[in-house]
Amino acid sequence: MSPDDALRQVESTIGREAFERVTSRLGDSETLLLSGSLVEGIGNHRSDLDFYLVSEDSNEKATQMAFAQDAYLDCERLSARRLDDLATEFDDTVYDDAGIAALPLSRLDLYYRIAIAVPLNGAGRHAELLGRFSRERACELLGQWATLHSDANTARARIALRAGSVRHAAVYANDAAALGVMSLLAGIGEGYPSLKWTGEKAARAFAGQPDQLAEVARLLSYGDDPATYVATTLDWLDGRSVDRMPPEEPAAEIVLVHGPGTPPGHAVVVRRKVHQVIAEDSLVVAALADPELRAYDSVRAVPGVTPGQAAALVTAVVTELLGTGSGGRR
Amino acid sequence: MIGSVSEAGQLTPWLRRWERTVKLRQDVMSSMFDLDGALRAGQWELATHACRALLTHSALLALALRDVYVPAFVRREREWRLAIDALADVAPEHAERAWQLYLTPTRTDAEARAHGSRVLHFVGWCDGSGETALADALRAWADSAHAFRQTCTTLGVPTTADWYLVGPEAQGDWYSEVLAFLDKDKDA
Repeated sequence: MSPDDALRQVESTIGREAFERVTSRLGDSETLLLSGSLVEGIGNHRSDLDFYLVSEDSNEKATQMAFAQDAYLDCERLSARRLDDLATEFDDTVYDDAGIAALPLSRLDLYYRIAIAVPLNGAGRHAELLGRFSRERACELLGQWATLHSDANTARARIALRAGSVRHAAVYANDAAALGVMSLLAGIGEGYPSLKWTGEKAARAFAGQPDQLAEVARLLSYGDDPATYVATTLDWLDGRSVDRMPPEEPAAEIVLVHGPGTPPGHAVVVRRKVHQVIAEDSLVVAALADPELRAYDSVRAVPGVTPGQAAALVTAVVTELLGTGSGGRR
Repeated sequence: MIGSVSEAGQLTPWLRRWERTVKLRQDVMSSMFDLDGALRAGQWELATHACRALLTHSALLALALRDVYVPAFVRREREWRLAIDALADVAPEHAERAWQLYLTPTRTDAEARAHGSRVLHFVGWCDGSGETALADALRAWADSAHAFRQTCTTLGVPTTADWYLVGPEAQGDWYSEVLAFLDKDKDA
């Protein structure tokens, strides 16, 4: 979107008077950015307008808001120093899975929003700084982040299913699927760090591919029967997981679960990489896998968790979820 | 004259709980904007997402209004899990209704509109208004934020200043501006 188009968008959404509230706060050396869903071309007349004021001043303020015309606006003042730090962090850091999973979405979100932002008064003295924010890099990191959290919620869905809650399993499977789609979209440059726009982004990205679009729609909607939805969605998620496993370094293993009322041979995919970074899932899935044979070795691998803590947690989890102690095989 | 005290409690936790309720009303209002915009624009997947956010935020609000406070999570699905389980203890019939709404598939604009109406009815139960629209949610948030800030001022408790971008020609404060916005929006 060009600055002129962005200005027209601003005036049609919130009106000139409201826009002047923002510009009246603009200092000589400050840069005014517009970002968010309207800049991406997916917003609507109620979408909030996200403004950023980039300043040399290090006194950042809480986000300000105002209502105008049909919508509302948010205006956040950011110091150039903070943006410089953010750009440097994302430029220079080689993230492993633990690093990506631990990244707060709010930081990815800010990086992405600055990367797509349109300077309304010219980039001026911040042109070089803003040029360091890359949409491609944002999509690359967002794709990795979404994949890991999709895996984590896939694990949670399986745990909820094993604990007998199809509804909670459906919620986690739905979120895992939405994150999986977010990751797919990020891979083709259409990532957006908010799940609420995933459907619109997919509609745009897969406009000429009705089968792909229908599959995304099926994944994002629960369907008429939650149990069927969980089963088909977990199949899709497992397919994606298998596709990206590096052959030289197995990222997953299949273990058998023998739980009460579970048919023999029921399988849980244990994703080691996820388990190394999301301790909660590691403990739970490891416990479900087989407390006697495997759980303790897996749990000991979790950073920051001592064997004693692990044993106590595994016992608690197994007791809660399966209604038994951790002592024996079932 | 000295009045009777029916219940005594600590000020700071009480203010924090109130502030959390104000924030939840803001979340409900914000999701209402999403739902209204999505339905008018025919963006039914956004509408579905907004409905789920509304169900989560309004369930949390219903709990807060009953003095049940669930920890805040960044991810909505974690908040939903805690909120719906807590609501099942407090109001099982409404929790069951919320579950059914949460899992309802919407595949068309017409389904999204009908679903949106049912969700708004549930939101109305949660906030005690009976039936809620965007204007009601905005008004409820503004009233609660106004009362909260006034109370803090009276008590000498500092609050965030300069959080609202009042226009240079404004005749009043943020609250009167929001009420004016509501009047205009109603006319539109």
